[in-house]
Amino acid sequence: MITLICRVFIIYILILFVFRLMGKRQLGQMQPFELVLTLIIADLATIPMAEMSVPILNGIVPLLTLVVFHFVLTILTQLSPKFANFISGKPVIVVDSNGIIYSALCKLNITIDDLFEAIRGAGYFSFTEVQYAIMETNGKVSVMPKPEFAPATKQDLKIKELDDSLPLTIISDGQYMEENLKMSDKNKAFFEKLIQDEKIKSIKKVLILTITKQGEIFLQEKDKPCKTLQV
Amino acid sequence: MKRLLSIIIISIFLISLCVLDEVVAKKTLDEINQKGEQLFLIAVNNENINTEEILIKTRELFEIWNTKQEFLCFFVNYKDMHEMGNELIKMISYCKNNIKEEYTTSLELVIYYCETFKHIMGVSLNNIF
Repeated sequence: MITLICRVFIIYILILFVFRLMGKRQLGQMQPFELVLTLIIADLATIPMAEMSVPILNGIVPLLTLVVFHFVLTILTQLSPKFANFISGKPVIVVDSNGIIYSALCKLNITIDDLFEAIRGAGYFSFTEVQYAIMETNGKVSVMPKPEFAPATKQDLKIKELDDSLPLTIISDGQYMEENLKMSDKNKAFFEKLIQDEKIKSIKKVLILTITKQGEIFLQEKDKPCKTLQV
Repeated sequence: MKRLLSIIIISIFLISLCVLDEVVAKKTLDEINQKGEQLFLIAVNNENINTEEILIKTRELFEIWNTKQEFLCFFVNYKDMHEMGNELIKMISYCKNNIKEEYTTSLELVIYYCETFKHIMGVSLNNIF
């Protein structure tokens, strides 16, 4: 039994390493061959885990070989756009100003219902709203709406944009985030005083404290309502 | 850069495994095969196999197999190797009881298993396709 646990641990670490090496693409962003590769990896990993008589190397070697091949393929696709097109295909326009391009649908082997579904998924419920729709290489449909149906931007509404910045999390679950603290222009003493002023007994009681560049603070004590402060 | 380094390390690891598999494992199997063939010649040329010489050589072959098995199980399915161990144990028993026909059959099987392992581990078109 200990042997089995050791084998599972080794395979687990290996899979973790393999997926870290393969990048952070989500399932929906994967090219078809990447999805297949992921399935193969999962399948390969189970063989030495389940079958004790199979040498663990019989699982490790194909896994690592796939990683090397995938890496080489990725480099080749980055170096040569022609090769990238061959491997991943090209984005295909499925709807243009003249309407749905039927020949493109046939080529892609998708039905009109699939196209409807994808367009609805993009937030448009009628073809009259769509100027262009493009089937991307990962199978997702990108939609460009007609100008009259496009969402208004701040530029359209002539709203002056404020200097926005990401709020920094200073305290999370009762602990200082040291790196964020260094990035903010305030020190620990400032936040400790703020916590005292807010009548919070100790820093451990703070669920979250964030601060923006403009000095807006979001503070929430555990099991208490949140507060927004301006400093 | 980190990824490239990892891939280079993995490639080196895979190449080393291939070399180890090809050279060391093959050498081990060749050694067992050679000893098996020597023993086969002795057994065929002797009417009586219940001799000290054959028994010692059979036991020696079994010991060698037991030692090499630990290394070979990194590459070969343990279930397949088990068969070979069984035949070697049978051979010791046949030798003691002087059952020549069964002894030579088991020895032939041991040689055949060695050849099969070599074939499985080796690079050949048959294995690839």
